[in-house]
Amino acid sequence: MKIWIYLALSMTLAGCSSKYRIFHDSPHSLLKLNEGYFSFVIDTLDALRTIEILNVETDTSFYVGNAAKGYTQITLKVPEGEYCFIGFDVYNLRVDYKDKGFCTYVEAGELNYFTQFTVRNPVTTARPNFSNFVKLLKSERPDICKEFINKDCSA
Amino acid sequence: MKLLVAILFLLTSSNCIGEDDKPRNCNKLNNFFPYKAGIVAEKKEAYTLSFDIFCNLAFKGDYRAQFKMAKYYKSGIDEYVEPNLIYAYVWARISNFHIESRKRDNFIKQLKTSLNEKEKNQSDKLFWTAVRVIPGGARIDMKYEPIDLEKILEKQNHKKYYTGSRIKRKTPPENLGIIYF
Repeated sequence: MKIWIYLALSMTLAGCSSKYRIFHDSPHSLLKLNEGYFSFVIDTLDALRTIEILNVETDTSFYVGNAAKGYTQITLKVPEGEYCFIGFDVYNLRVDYKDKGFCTYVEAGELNYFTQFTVRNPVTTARPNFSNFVKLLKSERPDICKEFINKDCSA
Repeated sequence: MKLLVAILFLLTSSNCIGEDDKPRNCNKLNNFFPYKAGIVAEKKEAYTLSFDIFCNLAFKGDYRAQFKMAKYYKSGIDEYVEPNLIYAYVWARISNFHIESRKRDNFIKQLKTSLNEKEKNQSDKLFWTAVRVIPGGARIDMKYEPIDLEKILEKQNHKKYYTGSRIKRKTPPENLGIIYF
């Protein structure tokens, strides 16, 4: 019985984290008219869990899963609007950024590369590094890379 | 001492007058507007306001606003912006210089086919001048405070613009024709 509960719970959590996130093995699907890709890179020395994003338009937040130690590109398929990176769990701590964290506007029909977050204790900095993002995206999702970026995106 | 103060005052005030008279790349806005404000204005069909917001952001390096400028210069805005394919082409190339996208690239290719050889040469020169002085690759988003666009639009509508012999039409900024810094 316990196994079934654990299984159901883990499936639900996996569902929550993968609703918007495009993983390397997610099936390819076209963007709807009001949807865009929202991408950013996390550079961290410790594994981050339950990364939280706020949808400013609806004032609701959702989780997009984890980021392993090192560089992780995160691409989400979301409806057009303003989104903010507001926090994450690390070890047994919860980090919530002040004032809604880091926000940007995601446009429909585009791949909206936001920035690269360098997560260090206690400060997170945001600085775009587009070439690093392209490198990561083309190794994980060459299809999206080719469709939206137009660089040499063959993996 | 008094003389020194008077000279200083004159110098400061003359500097202020100079600033006001100086032609601008973009029309001055009273507040800072982030990219989202331009989108909101565009959705409300307040195209002149949206153009002014994007123009200010484009000269600060927002590549999305630079692409919007390209689109506005391609289509033009009634009684505000004349279509100008050279400006459209140059803004599109600036927007795609640091952060590449297939969509922008296709737009550039399409525009290029509409330019003749003379216009291509002219736009190449303008592009290399502009890209050296206009920053790019940025996304200028601040935490968006809901802007009362209705109020701003109402204020805009209260300004009187005369046509005919007392011509005083709304004029767009000089923009890329001459770049002031």
